[in-house]
Amino acid sequence: MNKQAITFKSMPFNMKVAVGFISLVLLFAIAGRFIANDVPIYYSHKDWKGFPAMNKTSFLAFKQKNEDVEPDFQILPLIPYSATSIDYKHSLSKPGQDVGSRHLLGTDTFNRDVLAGIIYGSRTALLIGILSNILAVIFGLFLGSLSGYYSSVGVVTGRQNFIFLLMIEILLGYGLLYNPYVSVYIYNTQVRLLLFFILTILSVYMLLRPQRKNFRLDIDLLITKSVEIFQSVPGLLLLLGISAVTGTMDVVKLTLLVSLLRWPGITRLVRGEVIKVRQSQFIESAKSLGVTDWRVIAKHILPNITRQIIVAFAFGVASSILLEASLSFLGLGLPPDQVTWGMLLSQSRTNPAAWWLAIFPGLMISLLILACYTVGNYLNNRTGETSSKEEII
Amino acid sequence: MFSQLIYKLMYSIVVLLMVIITVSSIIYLAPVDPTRLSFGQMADAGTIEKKKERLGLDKPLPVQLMYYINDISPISIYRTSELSELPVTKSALSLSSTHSLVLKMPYLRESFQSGRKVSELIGEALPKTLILAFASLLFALLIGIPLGIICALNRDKMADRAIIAFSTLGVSLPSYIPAIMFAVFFGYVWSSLTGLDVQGSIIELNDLGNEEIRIRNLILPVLALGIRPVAMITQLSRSAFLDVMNQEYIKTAKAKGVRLVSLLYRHALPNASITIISASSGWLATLIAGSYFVESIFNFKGIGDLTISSLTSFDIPVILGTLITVCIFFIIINLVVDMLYTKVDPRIKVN
Amino acid sequence: MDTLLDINNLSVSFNNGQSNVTAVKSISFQIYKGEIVCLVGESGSGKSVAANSVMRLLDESKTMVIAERMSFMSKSGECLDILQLPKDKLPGLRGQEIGMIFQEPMTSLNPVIKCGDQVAEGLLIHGLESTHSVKDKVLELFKEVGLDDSKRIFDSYPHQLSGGQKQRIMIAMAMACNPSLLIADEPTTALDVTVQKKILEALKELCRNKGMAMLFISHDLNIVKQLADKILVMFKGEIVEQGSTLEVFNHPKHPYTKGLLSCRPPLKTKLRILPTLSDFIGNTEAKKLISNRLPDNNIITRQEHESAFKSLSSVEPILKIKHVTTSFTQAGMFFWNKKKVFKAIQDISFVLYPGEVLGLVGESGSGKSTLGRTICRLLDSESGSVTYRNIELANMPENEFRVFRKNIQIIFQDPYASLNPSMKAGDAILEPMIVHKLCANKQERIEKVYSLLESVGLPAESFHKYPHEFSGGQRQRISIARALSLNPEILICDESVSALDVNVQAQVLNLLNELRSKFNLSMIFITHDLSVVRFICDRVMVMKNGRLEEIGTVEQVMDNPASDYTRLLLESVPE
Repeated sequence: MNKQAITFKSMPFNMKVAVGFISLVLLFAIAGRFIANDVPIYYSHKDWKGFPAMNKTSFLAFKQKNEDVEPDFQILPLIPYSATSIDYKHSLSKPGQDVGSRHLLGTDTFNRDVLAGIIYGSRTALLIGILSNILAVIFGLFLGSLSGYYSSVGVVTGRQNFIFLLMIEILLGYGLLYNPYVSVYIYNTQVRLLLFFILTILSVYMLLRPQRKNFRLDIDLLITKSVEIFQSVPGLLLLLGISAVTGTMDVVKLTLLVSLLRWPGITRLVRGEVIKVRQSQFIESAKSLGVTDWRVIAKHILPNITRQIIVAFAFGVASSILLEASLSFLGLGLPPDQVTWGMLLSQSRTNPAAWWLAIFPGLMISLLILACYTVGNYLNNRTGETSSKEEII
Repeated sequence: MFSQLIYKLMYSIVVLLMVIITVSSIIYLAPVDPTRLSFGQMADAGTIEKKKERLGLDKPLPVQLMYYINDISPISIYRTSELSELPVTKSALSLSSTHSLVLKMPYLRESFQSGRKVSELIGEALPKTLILAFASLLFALLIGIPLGIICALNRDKMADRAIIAFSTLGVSLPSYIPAIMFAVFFGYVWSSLTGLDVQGSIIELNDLGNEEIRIRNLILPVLALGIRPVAMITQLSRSAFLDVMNQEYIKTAKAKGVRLVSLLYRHALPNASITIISASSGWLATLIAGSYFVESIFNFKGIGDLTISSLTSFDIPVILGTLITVCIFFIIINLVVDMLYTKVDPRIKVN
Repeated sequence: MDTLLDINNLSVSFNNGQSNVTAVKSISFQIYKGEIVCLVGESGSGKSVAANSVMRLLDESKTMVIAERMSFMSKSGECLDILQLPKDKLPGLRGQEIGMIFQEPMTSLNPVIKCGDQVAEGLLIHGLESTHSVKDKVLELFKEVGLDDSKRIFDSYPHQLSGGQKQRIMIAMAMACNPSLLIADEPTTALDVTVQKKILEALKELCRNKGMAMLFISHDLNIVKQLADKILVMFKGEIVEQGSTLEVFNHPKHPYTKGLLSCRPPLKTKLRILPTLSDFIGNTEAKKLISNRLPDNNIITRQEHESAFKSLSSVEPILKIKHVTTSFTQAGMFFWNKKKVFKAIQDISFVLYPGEVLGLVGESGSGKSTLGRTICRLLDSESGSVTYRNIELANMPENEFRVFRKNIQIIFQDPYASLNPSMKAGDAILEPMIVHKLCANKQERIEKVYSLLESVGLPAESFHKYPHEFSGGQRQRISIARALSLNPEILICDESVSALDVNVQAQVLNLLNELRSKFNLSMIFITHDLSVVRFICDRVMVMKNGRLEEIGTVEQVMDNPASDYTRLLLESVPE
């Protein structure tokens, strides 16, 4: 086991580049509106003083009232366009076509600046990539470690508990998902779905509490089969179907959907790793010492698979970004007023002549994914044994 | 062997059912009324009612599902009066005065949009997608495995590093990015040099009005779709070969005096292919799914194109139909992979 | 006699990027035609590396092999310089001139090629047989190495055969082309004693009949005694002693050899304390101290031991096992299919007296580990009863049984696998005490850990070290300390010393013996090694195919065995 700390200096060159690129995208995501905006970063005037980039509506209202006011002092952003600002004069202009326009990477079909779009789009890409994987890892860790730890043994539990759980599940499923009266009160489908999952996890926990036990529930079979069923539908197809029928997208919805696709993979990975570790003798010795199951999982198994989970996370972020971009590319992602990389790229389908719409967003997507892969590969190869990449992707 | 096949088939049917149920539930949950979308204002109220009743669209979800599954199942039960409306080849056996047992071709219903039978639409689209997918698979295998072997033999040398760098790029590129790049550059910007066309279809009418297969229109889509698989197979076979070449039995073979070529071909390849097959089963089928982008970019009217257009127009029968088709392909590919697996690895018990 | 292999000042070093590790330090030896030379040393002494370098099987990009001379006399009388041989000449050397047998028959055969074809391949490559006649030749070879059902084996895949059969195939493969030198790299280590004996006999006979020379590599001096003409003893990459078998066994010169010869517990006599290597190596000061440690009267006589045992067995047993059966089930493919049941142990009954050490002996697959695991409830028994101090444990629910876990502890075989790699040694010993809420507070627990570390002979700073910083023997000591932290009354040792080198094994055995009286432990000692049983056990139980074969005091069973199987086991132990 290699316990050496990772330092920037000790990294190979490609890893340094990858970390650098990810930091750049992170910077774009966090401080995007200070880099590219159609209003100044800082504006100082006797009537309006402050950061217009953070308080845009008030500033625009002020500007509308006093059109010709010259500020005492202002800091203009590097790029004088925001992702949504429309430049009526330039539609689909090439990068650097007009010297005056300052569209460094050209404009898209909606007359918007591509560079600003790329900077703003990095926030969506990272947000969905990271959030959806955090969700999926939480879910996958829970299910995967249960499934792996109890594989081939099953959880011994009270039969009445199992029947109880089944009934709760049916009631929950019907009540939250199908019952029209409930859906009147909780209108939002996602909220209902979320409630359903939370209550499911709660009831599984109740089921697993030590009680009088007489029924062997093969929890591994349940979980692996549902994972298999999930994985036997092409993920993209599922996502396409769901996104097509659930109407307009927003970031939260998209995050949930992407994590819905990621959890089976992570569950499978965690299960595999847990089984690998579970077979080690130190787990058997922990059991022989009387350590409880939950403690064995938390103290002996999970610390030994953290690296694999981090690697899976890195690969997962890459594939989530890819999924989001794919959806946007097909026009089934976020609405067009939210600029994403995939959406910019998809415009090149209808305008093959606008090569900059293909190159720059495509490059950003590829580079970010490549960077995530590099990080994942680096972590995976850093210690002797590597986990199969197939399971992760 | 046989019982295993039966088991797999049964399991596959369960999976298929689960998929249908899941997707139908999602559709049912959607805040859209499919009947209003599908029939439009043109049809008179009577027809809509009749059709609705026939398809069970006014019923609750479980009933609708039953109707649909009854429709797609080869063995099913219908009211005798409805039999004449079933537009598929069938033979009926009267069960009672009102119902009869029907043996028929699966009926995937009709498209809400065009009114054509879904099976017809799929029948037109499927061959194109299949040609595309298999051509890219072949391309991937023929290029990927040799590249992987070259890497494994020259581990950590220049050739290995270069190939690995390119394949990492290939794995991380979403298939539509090279597709767009290829389309833009080879099919548009340098079209006069390459003689290729973005919009070409495999089957085109020639000057005499006959259908003609144009292989060269396949080049760009296959390249675009194949890049990711090539990269994947390269990396997979590299690690599989590295793993196998470290095994004791390779040492034994070397100690026997086996030469390199025979060592690779006879001793390493069968063992490495076990890993390659088992690892690739998961994403082999995604070739078909992944062809969505390539199809839409190169204007290839295949399954992917059909799915996307049906999704955007909320054409439920077509959505379900294409979904079932793709799932069946997933299942078939997994079955084939399983068979191959037992064929290659004698350790897997046949029964 | 003609020199077949002449090695002069051979050094091998590995380069793993940052550092150079020298595995073999300028060794020199000769092998004459038809001679059997044995290379003996403990793990990591560089013996396998030396053998592999003779075949040029080491990864040449990562190793550096230097030798003044490394020449081999080929069949045609040509003198080959092995290190200078061009790559395309290597296949001619391998197989045809030098054959090789590896340690693990499980992994050394290609799993996807039929055994017959694997043997035939060598013959075909070297053009010794045509494709038509090759099958007959292979069948003939199979008969020679003692494979009876040769036709079936020809068409079998490796996984369908037993370990012994696979090793015979390896031998057939190695000698298919009649090489003049056979290198056998620990060919019997992975096999049971009875199989080991047969394989060794077969190897010796084949070498004598065909006039082949053999380089036999082993970690165990005793098994080469019957085999070798000449013995080379390797220690830390150097050959410390070489000479004829008689010379080495009767008049060992180097202290390491002396140590190796005496660290192994003797089969026929029971000792009080085992000598360890440090009794022979090291400065004279320490030597004196340790020599004092060994009592003058180190041999326990039969009468002495039997009377001691009589007093032990006069009290009520601490553990009673009655008619225990444990089976493994394999689910059928369909849920209505019947489950396949394999009974690992059947109808076992015995008792364990307080303070006694009961040995459990058997070959692999005899169910001895299953029995150990069943007693401490790592496996559930199917039927029968396990009674500890009048409390029935076998059917107790898991959460009630947890309280009793601290009374019955188990130590496993592999010291590398039985410690959590991400947990410090101190925390590992601390954890069971936390779980069972032993000791009043944290401070007391930590103090107890230090005292335990001391009693198993580890320094106090071990508390804050991770398992990978310890050697195998030290890790086994940590496992022992961890088990003792719960103040158990019964300790089950599941092959606990089998993975250790002889010297370390002697140290751990002495430690266990010491702790046994200090903590008043009753032990069940599972092992395949009868000499270890003689040293540490009071009674011994022999198991075969999941059934009890024989039980009695060590003297009864090992001096006058009642069952044929026990006799066979005893005869197979190399002396």
